[in-house]
Amino acid sequence: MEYLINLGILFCIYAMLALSLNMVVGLSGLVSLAHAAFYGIGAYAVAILMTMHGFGFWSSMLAGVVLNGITAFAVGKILSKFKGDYYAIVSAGLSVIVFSVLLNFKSLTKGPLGIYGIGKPSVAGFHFSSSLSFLALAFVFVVLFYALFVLIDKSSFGRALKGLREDEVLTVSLGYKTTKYKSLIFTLSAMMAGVAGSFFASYIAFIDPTSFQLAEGIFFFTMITVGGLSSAFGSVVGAALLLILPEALRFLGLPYETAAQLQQLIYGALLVMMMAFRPQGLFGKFKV
Amino acid sequence: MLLVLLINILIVGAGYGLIAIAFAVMSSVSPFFNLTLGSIIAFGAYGTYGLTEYAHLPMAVAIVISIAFCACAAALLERFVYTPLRTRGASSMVLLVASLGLYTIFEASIHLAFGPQYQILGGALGQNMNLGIFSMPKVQFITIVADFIVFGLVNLLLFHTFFGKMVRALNDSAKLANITGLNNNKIILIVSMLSGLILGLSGVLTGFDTGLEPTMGFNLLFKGMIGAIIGGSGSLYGPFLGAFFLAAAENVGVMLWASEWRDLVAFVIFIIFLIFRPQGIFQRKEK
Amino acid sequence: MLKKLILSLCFILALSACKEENKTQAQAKPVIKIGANLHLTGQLAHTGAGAKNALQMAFEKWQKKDTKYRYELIFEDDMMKTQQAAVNTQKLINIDGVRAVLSLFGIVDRVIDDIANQNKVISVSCSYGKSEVPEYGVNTGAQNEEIYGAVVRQLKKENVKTVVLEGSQSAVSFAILDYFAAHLPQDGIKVLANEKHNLDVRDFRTSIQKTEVLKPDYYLIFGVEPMNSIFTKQYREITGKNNLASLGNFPEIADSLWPNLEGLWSASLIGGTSEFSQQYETRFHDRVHGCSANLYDALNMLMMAFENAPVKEGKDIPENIDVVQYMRHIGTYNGAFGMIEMGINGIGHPSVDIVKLQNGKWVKIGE
Repeated sequence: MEYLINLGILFCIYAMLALSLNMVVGLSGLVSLAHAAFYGIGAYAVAILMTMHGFGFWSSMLAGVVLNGITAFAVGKILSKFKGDYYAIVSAGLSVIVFSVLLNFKSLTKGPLGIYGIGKPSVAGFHFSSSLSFLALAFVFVVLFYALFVLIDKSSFGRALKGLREDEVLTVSLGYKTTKYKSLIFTLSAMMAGVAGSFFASYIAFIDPTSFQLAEGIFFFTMITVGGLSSAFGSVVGAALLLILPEALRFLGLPYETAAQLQQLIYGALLVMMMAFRPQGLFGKFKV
Repeated sequence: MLLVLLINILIVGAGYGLIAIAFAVMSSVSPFFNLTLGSIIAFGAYGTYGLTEYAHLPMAVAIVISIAFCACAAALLERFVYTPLRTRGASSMVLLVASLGLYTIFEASIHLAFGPQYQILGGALGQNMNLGIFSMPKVQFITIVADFIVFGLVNLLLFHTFFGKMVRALNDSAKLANITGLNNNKIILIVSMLSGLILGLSGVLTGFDTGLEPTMGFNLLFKGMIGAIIGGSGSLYGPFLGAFFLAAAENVGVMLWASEWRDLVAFVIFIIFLIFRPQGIFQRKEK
Repeated sequence: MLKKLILSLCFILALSACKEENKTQAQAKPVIKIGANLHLTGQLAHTGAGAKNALQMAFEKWQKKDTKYRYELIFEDDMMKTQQAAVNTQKLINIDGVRAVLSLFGIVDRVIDDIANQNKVISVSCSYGKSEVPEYGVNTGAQNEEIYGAVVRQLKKENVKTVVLEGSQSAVSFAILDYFAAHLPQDGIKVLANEKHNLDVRDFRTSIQKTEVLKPDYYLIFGVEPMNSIFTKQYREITGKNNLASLGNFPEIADSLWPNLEGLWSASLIGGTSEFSQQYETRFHDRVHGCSANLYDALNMLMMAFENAPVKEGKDIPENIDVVQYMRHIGTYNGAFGMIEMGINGIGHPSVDIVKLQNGKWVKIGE
């Protein structure tokens, strides 16, 4: 049971990330590779403030969210100048830059040695030290983010986003200030990714920069592509599927000499098959 | 010291350049972040390694066979995976994920076939040659020469031949090209073979210079892609020069600060340049 | 069809997860399961493979013996990622019911230590430069003191006064190189630079030329392969000099690269008696890697501890804490590695030698 609960916690964290990324990529059509950076900032905010300055979980998370918001707002302004491939490269650049800072700014982040002993949150005296309670707390946030996504999707804000995704020129000519909308959704999404990062740091209690590299961003992409772009349900399903798949492969009883590589092979094959059978993702409503 | 720095940039930039050109060539008919291009680089290196180590073929033969294999692999992947997906309406992200799946399969297969240990291709190409004031391994010199030759030839092909016109027409609009009687599939086949060939060559040269390991494809491809995109599309000067620009930006970081800040400095430089030239650093603004 | 496949995968997972911890049935011998959480994929896959092979070899030897208990060895791949290591350890402890987890180095071993300790499960690692373990932990990897001691003796013999340190941006590199940076000045050797390269760097030329301007007497490197091989190759290409030594892992490098290392010396963290090396090489057609011999000995010590630790009244197998205590009190252990001095705080001190590549063979030098 403990094993499933732990998987459940990871699911919640990845679901939060998938929902946040899908808002930017699915709803708005912005191919951002920057989310690993925001995830990392959220995690390190909690790690540094809790272990080195005695802050509590919620205030640390808030600090991380605010930092992400400011960063996203600033970066968003630069990003809005770019389209397509360039948007992707510049956003990837943010991931690389943040990773570099986390890795090398040793006086702040302890570099590759990582930060350990990160505590768990408390609310009104109740300490979320058991994994089951932590899971429940994380799940509450998943529900919140899911609701937020659906709310935006169905609102006029969401319609404007989808408009600028489909045809930005037209949307601008209709009077919508698309740069403001892009900036808003990017900032919001970054803050959500920060929350996921904070939960991750608290859950695993021991973080290092290697969890926040560009490759992680590609994994987030895979989640929402498999699950379905522009769909809240798709985000959540994608997260669950890509978490469960490698776990299920363990139980196939492959020979120990080659098990790890065969598992990779099967995982890769399943990805290809999924794309071949359902190119729009399991519950996708939109193609980039 | 400056001279030495320039030579380093030349060597590294040439290495990236081959991959950048191959990526740009492939993108002209199949534009997306294709991770299997990285696998093809690895095939070039490991093909040569396998044929010399286990089949005991002479080096030259092994190289030719490997590069030919890479050309075929690139064409087959494009023909049987990416083009069909695209025809069925798959988005760039779906293609990216499919290529990620394939890349994972290939990397795991290489690992199973050759083991995870880091290897290097031996032989005369690894030895130093004297060029007056300095010496460098032959393979590095060959890489520089190869980069220039490939650039020259591909540029000639894409921009000064009828075939090149067809490729660019396809790039502009595949539907229109088809309607006007172009055999899309044939063009795509030839272009992907060309791209695979260059990638295979890059793999072989890398194998001699900095060695091989199953994970080698991804990082090399990433460098090439960055060089190509930052340089700009539309002409082959973009990837060719962009690769040198990438090498320069990296080395500047190492030179002025420390190796640890290399990537950060490089990306900050790119972003600053791109802000002023969002169409790509070495491209003219679109008319 | 795809949906069916996914559903069946979920079903398999749910079934397996619902298994309760294995209760020992009415069998002749109780079962003790041991887990191994290793780097089987990723940059350090070769180290993981070496450890896996060595563990399997040790395990098979025990299976031929007549033991008090029945043992099972289960391998998992931590992919060098903390969250994967955490999930693996949870699975090993809660689904498989292991009593001990073996691990390598990086940050992952500390995550594994933590989770194992919380569950009162034994955690044995081979981690370089790790100087403390929790209550249920044991470490068998080389320690900074031994590495430093051996290297500094050699440096003094060669009259080295200035040094440049080169490493990778990895936890182990940092732990060892920072120790050197702190202690070398106390031994009269000046550290001119402490360069750390990102793991994907394959071009060190500019960095080498930059540090060469400082005219150091020696370069000391400890990076994640292939940094060591490529750096050495490029260093010799550019300078033609020989004043470069590795702080731990030259002998682990593939044979095809040894021509580049001819005449250079290295601290050897790999150990391995010639008997062990020969057995390993004959069976696996590959060289012994870092941590192979250490974990081989670790598994032997662990199983010896299980077999010999005191069993409390009314129980049929020893408590984990007693097994850990037994391991910690082993004292000097002479095994496949050579000599490991086990400390009662759980930290083992493997001996570190200096070896030099002479005519294609690694020869021990200096004493």
